[in-house]
Amino acid sequence: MQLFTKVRSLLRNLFSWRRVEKDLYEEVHSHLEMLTEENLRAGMGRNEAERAARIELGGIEQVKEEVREQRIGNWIHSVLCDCRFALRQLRKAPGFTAIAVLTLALGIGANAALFAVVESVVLRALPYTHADRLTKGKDLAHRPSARVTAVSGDYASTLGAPLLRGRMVNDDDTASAPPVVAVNESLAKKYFGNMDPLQQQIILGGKETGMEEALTVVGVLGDQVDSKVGGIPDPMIFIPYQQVPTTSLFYQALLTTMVNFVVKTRGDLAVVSAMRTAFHEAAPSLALDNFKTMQQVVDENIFSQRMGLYLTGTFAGLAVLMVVAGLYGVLAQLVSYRRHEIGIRMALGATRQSVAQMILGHGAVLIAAGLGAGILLALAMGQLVSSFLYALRPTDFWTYIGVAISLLAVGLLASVLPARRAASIEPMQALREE
Amino acid sequence: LDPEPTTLLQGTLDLLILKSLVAGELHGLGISRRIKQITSGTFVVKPGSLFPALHRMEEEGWISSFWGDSENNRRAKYYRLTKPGRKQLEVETKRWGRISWAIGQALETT
Repeated sequence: MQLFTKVRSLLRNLFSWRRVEKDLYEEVHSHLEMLTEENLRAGMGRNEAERAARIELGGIEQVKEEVREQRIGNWIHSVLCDCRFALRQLRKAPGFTAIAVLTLALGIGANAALFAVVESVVLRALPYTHADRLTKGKDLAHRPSARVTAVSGDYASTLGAPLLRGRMVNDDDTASAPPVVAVNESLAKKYFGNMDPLQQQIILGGKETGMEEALTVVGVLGDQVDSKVGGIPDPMIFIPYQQVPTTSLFYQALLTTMVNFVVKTRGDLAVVSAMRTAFHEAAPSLALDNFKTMQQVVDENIFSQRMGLYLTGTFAGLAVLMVVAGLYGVLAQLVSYRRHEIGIRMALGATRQSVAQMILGHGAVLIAAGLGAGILLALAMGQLVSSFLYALRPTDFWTYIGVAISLLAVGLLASVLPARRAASIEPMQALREE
Repeated sequence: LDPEPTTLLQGTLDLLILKSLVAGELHGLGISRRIKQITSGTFVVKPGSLFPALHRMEEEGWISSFWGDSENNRRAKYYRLTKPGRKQLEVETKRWGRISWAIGQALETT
């Protein structure tokens, strides 16, 4: 019931604005006349009666403005009025407007374009799903794939990977024993689904790789954090290193790539020198270097992601600063140019709030124009950049929406200070200055 | 002797306007004069606070307005209490009772 009344008032205030205003005008004037009559009856002269009535009323326009501010939905109406007024004013000073809009457009456009670049280069490595499965030259994207690791020793327990099913491959799986593998949970889920992965056969490339024999799955390991921190774990296959045939491509890979040794200690021990000595005694011709704790390995891995975020943050910060400084400067100047006009408005009954809103309206119109031009600029820059930067998507809708909304908020914040300054102008002082 | 006019406490104006309309419909000036009368001249409501309050209360649905003829055959906007307005008057009256009792208590404490 209450809500219904309010909605009706809101609709009336918005759509029958003229009628509501006429009503108010008539009410205040009839009030004034009744006051005058009262004074006449009390024995005052005509002029004196009117004067006293006006003094008691306290300014027709002021009273009307006070009433307007009580109306439901008044702010919608006054925002529209302020924006229309701002548009008219800005059209009258095209040079000034052009510079203001250009400053904002540059800030906004640079921000959007830089964000699009950083977003596609750093935050999203390649615009394909499973980019890691793509191989140059051949389309292997639709074949099952996995990372293959040759392991020895007590791999699973050293890395703390839990054994979910079956057994882990170990040093007993020699070259002459039946070829076996362990897989991780991701692989089991992805390629075997609901089937029991144990005793399934896996062929790693067959003739292409020299791994012609089918390998039997004997165990399933829990997924571990490996190369992609925070990403979806890759499907992995663990082969006992003794069972990698010397004729296969995998053996070549084993010889040419680096071998990682993982050592797990109880407590915080300095194992580096001990390891180096032991390794040197066992294999004097090989070098063992690049010692890292697991924490370091993880940290290096997420470094590039962090770097990207820092970069984005810095760029965005700079562009935001540009927008804030530009808009603040423009509006502050506007307020100082129009001190006199604002003084007249206030003398005629404009409240401090409505003056502040008027300046905010200017700010909003400038930001809107700047956003429009800035987004066009960003699109153009994006096209330019994407012509020499691979995989950039210059028209990422949500990036633009996000940039637009946040800059709108920032811009309005930057308008608050000049608006407050305008609202604090003393009409008497401003009028006397001219 | 007129007592010195006092500024209205926040929220008291609504109560006084609602109360002044209990006896029947009144126009703005009538409400203002009636408040002066029932408070023995303690509260003089200026149009600058009266009209905004009337319009706000009308939008709240506590009072409704219509155009009519004044005692001197002049067109004037009249206000009358609505049903939600009467309920609101009860609420405000109770609230005011609590406030004045509490202030009285506070002032009596030594």
